[in-house]
Amino acid sequence: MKRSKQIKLTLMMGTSVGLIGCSDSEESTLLFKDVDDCTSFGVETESCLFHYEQAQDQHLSEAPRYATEQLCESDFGYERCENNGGLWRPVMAGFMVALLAEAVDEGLDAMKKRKKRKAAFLSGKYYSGAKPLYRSKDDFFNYRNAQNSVVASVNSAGTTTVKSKIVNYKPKPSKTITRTKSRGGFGRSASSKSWGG
Amino acid sequence: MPVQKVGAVKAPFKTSHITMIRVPIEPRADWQAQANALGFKFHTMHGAPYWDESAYYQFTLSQIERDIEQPTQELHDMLLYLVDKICDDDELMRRFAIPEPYWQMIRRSWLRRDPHLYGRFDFCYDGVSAAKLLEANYDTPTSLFESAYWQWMWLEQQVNTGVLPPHSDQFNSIQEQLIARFLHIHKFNRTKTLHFSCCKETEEDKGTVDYLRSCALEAGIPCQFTFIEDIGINTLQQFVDLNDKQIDWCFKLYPWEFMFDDEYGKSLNNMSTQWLEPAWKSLLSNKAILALLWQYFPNHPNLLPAYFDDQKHLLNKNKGIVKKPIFSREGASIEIIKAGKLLAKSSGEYGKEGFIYQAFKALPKFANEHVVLGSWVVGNSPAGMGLRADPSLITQDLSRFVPHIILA
Repeated sequence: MKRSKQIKLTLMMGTSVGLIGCSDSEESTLLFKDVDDCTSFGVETESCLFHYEQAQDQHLSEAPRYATEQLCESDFGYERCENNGGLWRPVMAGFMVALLAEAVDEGLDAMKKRKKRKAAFLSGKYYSGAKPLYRSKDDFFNYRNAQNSVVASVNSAGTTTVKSKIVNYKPKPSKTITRTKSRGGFGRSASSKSWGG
Repeated sequence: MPVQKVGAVKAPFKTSHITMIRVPIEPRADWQAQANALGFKFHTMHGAPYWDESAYYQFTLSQIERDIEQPTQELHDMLLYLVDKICDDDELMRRFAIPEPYWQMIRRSWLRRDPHLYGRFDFCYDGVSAAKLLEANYDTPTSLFESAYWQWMWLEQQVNTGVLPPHSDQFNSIQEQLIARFLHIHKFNRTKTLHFSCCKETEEDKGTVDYLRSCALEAGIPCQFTFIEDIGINTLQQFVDLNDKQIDWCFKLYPWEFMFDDEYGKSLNNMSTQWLEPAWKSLLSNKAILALLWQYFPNHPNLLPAYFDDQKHLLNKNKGIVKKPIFSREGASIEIIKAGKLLAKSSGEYGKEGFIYQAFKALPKFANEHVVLGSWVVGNSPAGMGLRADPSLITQDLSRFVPHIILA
């Protein structure tokens, strides 16, 4: 046969302009205050350390930065800021790990059963790596991510479902605030000619 | 359904000497309603029917495989061979009228082998003699949805209602191959969103882009749409969409030579945006490639003699000469001259970059329509075809799209 076997396709013909394929889905995440919190949940220490360090790395590049301690404390509270390289950042109040639901289930199973007295190793397919969490002065009992979106209450234990975009945000280095300078630099050539082909 | 190769083994000689057949057929009663429901809005364009299912063209399997599929593969390989030659040669870059500031960008994109998506050859083919290449549309080919999807649906429904025999086939695995190709390209751009882009107020282009976006989504690629005119540049010197998000991977249905000319052209060199089609494709959509093909592969059975301005005397004036601007699209600004007489001429504003001259070969004529055969390449392999019929000798953007089948 010289043709496609079937041609079923969700056609996007004439659909309006906008983001498609990026949904507002929910995702399972694990939120931990620190490594101890993580191990006591039933995850292997090695795995916990790995994610914690990953979050720490993200923290250094993503956390809001302030020129002075005072400015930082006005947002995050007294003694809630740290100095690194001459800049002030809020301390990392926790970290989150987004996981495939199966991986979480596996982790939970291992924790519940504790048959082999072996903790779960959160390996494999976590999407976005571990991300740092913060607690701001005005909203102290919620975790927020580096982009200042509320993630969940600090008291939430175990797997928490949060909106996908809160976990899977594109990490953008702070301090590089961009602005669109110009638009419309493409398309002029088309107005005078027919084309396509 | 399996296609019976009747006589293909025993008597190949016989089957090769019939033309393709034009068969009038009753159009499906509800095809316009179906088209509207799918969002296929350009089935009538500028008030004239664009999709025409009042007749179809019938081919044999050997015609397709021997005369279309195999030459398509061969010509595609020849084109890729030539990209290498052009990239290595400043003089050729100049002949192709590529502005010098973009040479490095094109070379880099070729040396990296930036993945490409698709292309279309236009052939002059009557079913008997070898198909002759009229031109290659390798940067912004359209009529994709009609070929890949709509024509397929037409056959499926005509077979299901018993109008066409159940073993009717079609040279058309375009959609299957497009999705496979997107899957392949996605591997190199795992973390990126693919932005689709075309100009405003072009229903046909929007249709093509929407269709490609559907295929990309099917392949699991996150997609977004931004009009060409809405693209901006931010303070970090990145292209951005209307939400000020960076465009780092972009399918544009917009010719490279226009991008070179546009205000943002000078920014292209500094950008890391991954383009579909990649910059090296600008060499292949260029009509100068026709002259270069003839130079490197003279007397190839699927080529027509073609020359640059300085060698046009080598063409036989009495057999007719076609004058094509290097950057022409949709058959604009083309002249056909035979024995000093102007046979046909199309309007347009192309030509300031120069012309090439190609031997004239009249398109086969069936019931007052001239037929051009568009053979699709997806990735690096032949994928299917679509026919366009036009009362004029030059197929322009108002020609009609007609379906085809393979029988026996």
